Amino acid sequence: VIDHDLNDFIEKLLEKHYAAIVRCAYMRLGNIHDAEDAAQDVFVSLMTAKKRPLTEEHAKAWLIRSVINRSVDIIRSRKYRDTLELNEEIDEAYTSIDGGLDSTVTIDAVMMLPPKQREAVFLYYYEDMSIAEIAKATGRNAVTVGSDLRRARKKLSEILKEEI
Amino acid sequence: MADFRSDFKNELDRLKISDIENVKTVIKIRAAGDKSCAGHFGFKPILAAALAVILMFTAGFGIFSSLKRFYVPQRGILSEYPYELYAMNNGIFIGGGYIDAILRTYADDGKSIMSIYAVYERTEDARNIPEIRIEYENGIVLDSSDREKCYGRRNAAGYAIYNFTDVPDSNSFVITIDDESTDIELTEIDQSEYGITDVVSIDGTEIMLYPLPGGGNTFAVFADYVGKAELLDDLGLKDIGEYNAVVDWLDCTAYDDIGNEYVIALENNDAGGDGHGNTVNNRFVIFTRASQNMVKYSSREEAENAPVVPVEDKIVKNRIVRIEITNISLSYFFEKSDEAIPLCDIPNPALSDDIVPLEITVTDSDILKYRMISASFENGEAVVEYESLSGDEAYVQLNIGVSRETAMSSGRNITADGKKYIHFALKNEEVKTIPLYLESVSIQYDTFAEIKYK
Repeated sequence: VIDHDLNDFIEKLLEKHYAAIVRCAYMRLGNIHDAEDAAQDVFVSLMTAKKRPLTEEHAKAWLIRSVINRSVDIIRSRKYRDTLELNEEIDEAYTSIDGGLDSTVTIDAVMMLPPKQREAVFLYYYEDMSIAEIAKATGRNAVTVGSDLRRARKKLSEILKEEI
Repeated sequence: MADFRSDFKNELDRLKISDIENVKTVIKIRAAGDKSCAGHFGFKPILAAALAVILMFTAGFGIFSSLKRFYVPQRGILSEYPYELYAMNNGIFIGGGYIDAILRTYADDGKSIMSIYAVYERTEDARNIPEIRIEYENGIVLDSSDREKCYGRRNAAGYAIYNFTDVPDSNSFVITIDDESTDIELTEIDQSEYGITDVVSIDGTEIMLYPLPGGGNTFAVFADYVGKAELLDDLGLKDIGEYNAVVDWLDCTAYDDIGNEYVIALENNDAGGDGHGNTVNNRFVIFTRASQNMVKYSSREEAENAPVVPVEDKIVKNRIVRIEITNISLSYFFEKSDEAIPLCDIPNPALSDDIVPLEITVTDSDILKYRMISASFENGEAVVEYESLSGDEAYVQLNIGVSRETAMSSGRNITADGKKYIHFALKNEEVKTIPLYLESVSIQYDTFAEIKYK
């Protein structure tokens, strides 16, 4: 891949996947600024890596896996503090519809799940990935992903009081 | 199910994410600043830096808004940029907290960020921190309510940080909080004063003593972002714990390379009477062997003449463990050997070329062949997942670390009694928890792993 092709390739990946990668990190970190940091770190890594995925399909899996790992790095970082935004209203992380205070009920519920279940739910329900695709992207066993999803559904049903 | 999926998508779609064009520019700037990437783009570093500045101007303020995260001197970013520490002539009370030091960090383009730290005794006070307004003689005003120019984070441990971007190069300003204005003069602190100046011998171990000049919270700021790491490094100690920035400013557990435990604290003397130790000469770092032997010194002389502090045998006896995963560098605890390794430095498995098969030898058992499929560190536990290469076992999940309860209550601290838990699952998705005294764990990535326990 020569330089200008690389630029084009990564620009396309950014346009197509950046928001999803941020959301994926958000599922782990619960903070939009940290999530954007993690996503940007991953794209910078992609640009500077000596070996990088050459197809878009592989790149998406690479990005997902990398941003999950980057998020874990951020969480365990010694410098990391359990911080909230200065303007603490969590709703400010979201675009309000019609200027009203809009619900984040499902996100709140998902955030109560263990991290790996959160990721599985995100990739399955938001990214519409199959269990096999999730397993491949996250480098986890498909059986494990499946059981994570089962447990997540059960827990979400309890929290949301509806069948998931 | 459909309802959940659509609700979930709708809610996540409303997440505010930076404009993609700005993000593109940010990433190009960051990547261009990297030498290895400069080669990819055919830039020389200086041209890359120039490009960054040009891009910032041409892309307008939106790009700066995206970049501010990049500049904010937090979580290690500070060390990448030049910074200056300043003491304030007047300390300021702010909503139950106190400010008397600032940090100024310079980004690549010469712009600076001024970080003002408000420290609170009570966490609940930090939850309602007020807006602050800073006015310079030349009429420039910085207002914390301007979220484009003031990026702030509040820490649950009890201090708030106001990060102002685009700060004038002046050390005089008026700060206004709740309609009360105070004239501020900043004095740069000579960071060389923070060097190691004295060596104290305690129980035959030489410990270097840091004098703590400057006022009030200055060292809290310094220790938070720079001092602790340097201090531990200079002492040859490895920090394994969170520290409480409110009560003692710096209070962490550390180990030397033969497994001795230290509690390191910074005495926050209240001689100033304001609850924040706003005096100069009587704060010292305190080193002890284990928390039960906490020793406090009120002066350097007293520290130098301190009696020997005995090492508790039981701490050494029960010190476990050796966990070592090379290459993948999963986690490490401590043992009575010459080679203690810092706790938990998990690299990015996704960035490694391939996942290499791993053999695990469990003592008194068969050799089991597994392939590592993930590694992470959560809630005080190192978690490694393997899948079987040799049989019909579903997978193995090996959790190494303290119990979840302990981890949740003490961050990443490892309990001193050495009691650890392994969660081990074979042929079963349900993870069994086996509490045990772990004697040693040595996992040689790519070759073998040996786990002994009693």
